[in-house]
Amino acid sequence: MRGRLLRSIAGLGVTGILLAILTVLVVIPFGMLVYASFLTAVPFSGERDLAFTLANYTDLWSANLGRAFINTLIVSIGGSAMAMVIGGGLAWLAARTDVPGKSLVHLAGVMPLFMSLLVAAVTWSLLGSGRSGYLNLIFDYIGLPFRIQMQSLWGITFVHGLYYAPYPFIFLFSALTLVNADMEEAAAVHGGTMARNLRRVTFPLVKPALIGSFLLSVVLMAEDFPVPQILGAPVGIETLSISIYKLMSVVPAKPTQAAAASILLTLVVFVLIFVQRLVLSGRDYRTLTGKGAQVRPIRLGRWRWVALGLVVLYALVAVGLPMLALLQGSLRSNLFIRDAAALFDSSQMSLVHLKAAFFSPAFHDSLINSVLAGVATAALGSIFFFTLSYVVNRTTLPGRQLLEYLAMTPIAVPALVMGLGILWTWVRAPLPVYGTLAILVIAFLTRFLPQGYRTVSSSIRQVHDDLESAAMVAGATRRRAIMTITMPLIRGGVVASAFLMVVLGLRELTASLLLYTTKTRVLSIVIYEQYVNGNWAQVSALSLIYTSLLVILTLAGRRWLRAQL
Amino acid sequence: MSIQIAGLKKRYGESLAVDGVDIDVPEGKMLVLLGPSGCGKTTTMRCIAGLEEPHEGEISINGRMVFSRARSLNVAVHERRIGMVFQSYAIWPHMTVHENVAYPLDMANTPRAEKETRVREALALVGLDGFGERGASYLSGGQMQRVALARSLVMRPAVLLFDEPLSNLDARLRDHLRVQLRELQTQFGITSVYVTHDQREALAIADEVAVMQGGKVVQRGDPVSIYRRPKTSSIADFLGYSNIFDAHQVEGGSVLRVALDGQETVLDTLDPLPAQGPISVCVRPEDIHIQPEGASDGPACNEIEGEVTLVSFMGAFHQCRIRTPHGAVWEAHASAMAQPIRLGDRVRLVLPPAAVLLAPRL
Repeated sequence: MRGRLLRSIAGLGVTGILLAILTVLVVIPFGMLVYASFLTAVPFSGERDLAFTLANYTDLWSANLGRAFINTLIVSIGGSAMAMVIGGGLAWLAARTDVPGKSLVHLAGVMPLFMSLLVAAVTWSLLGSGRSGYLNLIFDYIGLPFRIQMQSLWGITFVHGLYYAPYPFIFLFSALTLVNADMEEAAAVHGGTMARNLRRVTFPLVKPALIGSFLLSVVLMAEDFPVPQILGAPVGIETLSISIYKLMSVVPAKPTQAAAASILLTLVVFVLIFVQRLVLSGRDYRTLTGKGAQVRPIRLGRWRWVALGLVVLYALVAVGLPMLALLQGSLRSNLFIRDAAALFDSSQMSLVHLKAAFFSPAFHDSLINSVLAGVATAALGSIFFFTLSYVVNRTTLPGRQLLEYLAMTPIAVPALVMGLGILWTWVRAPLPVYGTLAILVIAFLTRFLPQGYRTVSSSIRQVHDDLESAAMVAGATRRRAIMTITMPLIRGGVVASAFLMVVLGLRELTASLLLYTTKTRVLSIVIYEQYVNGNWAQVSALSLIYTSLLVILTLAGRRWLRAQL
Repeated sequence: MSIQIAGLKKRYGESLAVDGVDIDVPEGKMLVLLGPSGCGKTTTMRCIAGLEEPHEGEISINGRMVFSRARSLNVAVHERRIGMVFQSYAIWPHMTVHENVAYPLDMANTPRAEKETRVREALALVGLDGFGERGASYLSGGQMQRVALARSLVMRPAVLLFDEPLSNLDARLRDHLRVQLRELQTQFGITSVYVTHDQREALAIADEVAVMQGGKVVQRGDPVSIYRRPKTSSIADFLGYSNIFDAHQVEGGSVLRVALDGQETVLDTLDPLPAQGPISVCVRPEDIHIQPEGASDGPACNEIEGEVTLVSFMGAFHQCRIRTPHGAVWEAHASAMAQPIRLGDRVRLVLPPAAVLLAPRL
C-alpha cells in the first residue's frame, strides 16, 4: 500500500519536474515577452514606473515596421519559390529520372546544409557587393556590361533560395520515392497515359509535400536573421527580425516596442506553421521512406546531360563559389583588389591571415566555448529529451499531453524572439546565469527542443511496449527494465539527438547574439563581430575554418543525422 | 485454487474495458479467455500480470493477494513471479537467445552454475538446444515464440500467461506450436491463462473456456459444453454457429416445435425453451445433411429446400450456401466423399432435432 502510494508520488514528481523545466525554458521567456509588450518598460529591469499601454502595438503601424513586414514577405515568399524550384527539381531528378551521377544529385540536394547561413551571407557579400565584389571584378574583366548587387532585397531572396533548397528537396524526394512504387503502376495498369498519370496521380500525391515544404521554407526565411542582417541592414533594408534587433540595439533601446514586434513576427510564423500542420495533417514525409521498389525511371534522352549540368551549376554556385571566395579572402595579403587579374596574382597571396586566425586567442576561446556549450546542451538534452519522451509515450501519467505541446512550441517561436525572452528572464534573475555559458545552453536547449524531443520520441515509439513489459514480468523493476532493455535499444536515437544538438549549437547565431558577453563568445559570434568590425580577412579565414569544421562534423556524423536534417 | 479474480473492473476514460470479472483457475489447469477484439480479455490478463492497474476488485495468485482495491494493495509486476508470452514475442533484439532466456534468472541473482543448467534445460524443452549464442533478431517467428516460452518457463513461475501467442504465426506452425505448448503445460502442471480470439485454438487447448463479451464473462465451461451449448445467440455466432435465425414457439410438449420468422419452416428440437424473451435458432453447418431434392411433396418438418449458390472445397468437406425461396441463406457442409454438389443444384437440407439449438436472442 505504501509502495503504490510512493510509486504514484514518484510518477507525479517526475511530471512535475519536467513541467517545471519546460516552464522555465519555454513558458516564462515567452510570457515575459507578451507581458513586456503591454508595458512601458521591461519588467524586473529596475525601471520604477511600469504602466500598462497599448502604444507598443499601435506604434507597429509606423511606416518603418510596415515596410519591414512587406520586406519579410518578399524575401520569404520569393526565396521559397526559388528554393522550391531548385529543391523540387533536384528531388525529381534524383527520385524519378535516369540522370547520370545520382549520388551527386543527392549530395547537391543536401550539401548547402553544411554552410551556416551566416557564412553564406558573408561570402555572398564578398562575392557580389559593390565594385569590389569578386564576381563584379570578374564581370568587369570579361567585359560583361552588368554588375550584381547582393546587398539588396533581391540578394537576400537569392541567398535564401539558394540555401533553403535542401528542405523542399528532403520533403519532395521522400514523397516522390514513396509515391512511385505501386500507385503509378496501378494507374498505368488501369490505362492512364504518362501525362495523365502525372497530373491525376503523382501530383495530387505529392501536393501535401509541396505545400508543406513551401510553407516550412517561408517560416524559416521569415524568421531568419543572419542573411538580412548582413545583406540588408548595412543598406537600410529591414525585415521584421532586423527591426526587432535594431529596436534592441539603438540608443536608447526600445525593448517593449521590440517585444510587440516579436509578437507580430511570432503570429506570422504561428499562422504559417498552423496552415502547414493542417496541410500535412500528421503525414511526415521524411519518415516515410520508399520501400526501395524498383520503378522504371523516366528517360531524359540527351536532356540528361543538360540536367546534370544544371545540378553541377547549382552545386558550384551554392558551395563552390563561396568556398573559393573564402579561400581568396583569407589568402589575400592586402585587402584592396584593383581588378580581376589581382584576384589570381599569387604574389598577393599569403597564409598570414589564416595563421593569425587559427592561432588567435579569440578563435581558441570561442572554439572552447562553442564545444563546451554544444556538449553541455547535448548531455543535458539527452537526459531531458529521453525522460520527456518516455513519460509522454510510455506512461499514463496525467499532464503528458501538455508536456508534448510545450516541447513542440518552440517551433513556432522565432530564434530572435526566444532569445529576447530568455535574456529578460535571466538578466535579473537571482541565479548567476546571465553572462555565463549556461544561458547559451538554456537557449540552445529551448531552440532545439522540438528536434531533440522528436528524434528521441520516434525511436522510443519504434520499441514495442511489450519488450519492456516482458522485462518487468521477468522480474525487473521498471528502472532496471529501462536500463537493460529500452535504453540499449534506443541508444541510436539518443546519440543522434545529442549529435544534432552539437551541430545545431555550433551553427547557432541569432539567439547567441542577444545572450553572449565578452567572456562567452562562441565561434559564430566571433565571425559576426569581425564582420561588424569590417575585418574581411579575419572573417574569411575564420569562416573557412568554421565551415571546414561543420563539414567534417557533419560527414563524421551523417550516419546519425540521416533522418534529422 | 491458483488464480482468483473477484469483481475486477478496469476503465479507459469513460468506457469500461473490464466490467466485473470473476474467475478462478484451479491449480495446474489452463483457462482460456475467448472473445472478439475489444472484449476485455487482454486487459484482464494484463491486470493479472500487473501491467495494468484495475479500478476495482481483487486478484490473488497461489493464495497470495497481489491486488486489492479495498486494501489498497498492488504488488509490482516484477514481484508477482509469473511467466508471460506475448503476441509480439517481445524478444529483446539486442541480446542473444541465451541472454534472453537468462534474463529472469539474472534479475533473481541466480548463481552462475545453476543459471547455465536452467537455461540449457529451458532451451532443450522448447527444442532450441544449440541456439543459445544466436542473436535473437535472426530467428524466425516460430523460433522467437519458443524463446519467449523458454524465457517464461526458466524461472519456474507460479502461473503462465499467454497473450495470443500464436496469432502472428502461419497456420501450420500454429498447430504445431499449440500442441507443444499444451504438452508442456500439462506435463509441468502450470496454472495458465490463455487469451485468444480463435475459437478452434481455444477449444483445442483449454481445460476450461471463459467467453468474454463487452468486458464481462458471459459463459464458462469445459470446451465440449461450450461447443455444444452456447448460452446466447451472439455467443453461438462467435463459436461458429453460422445459421442463426429468429424464431418463435408453435407447439410445446416433450418435443418442442418452432417456426422461423419470415420463412415457412418449422423445426422440431430437443432443446428446452429458454426461460423468457425472444429466441433464436442456431445450427452448426456441419450438423446439417444435404440431400438431393426429393420428387415427393414439399419439405417436411426439419427440412428446408433451396438452391446452391456457393460451393467451396475445404479439404475434409465442401462448404455450401443454400438460398431458400424466401430469401434466407443457410450454410451447410457436405462431406467431400459424398456425391458432389454443384452450383445451382436444388437440394434439401435435413436438420436432426438434436442439432437445433434454441438460444435467447442477444
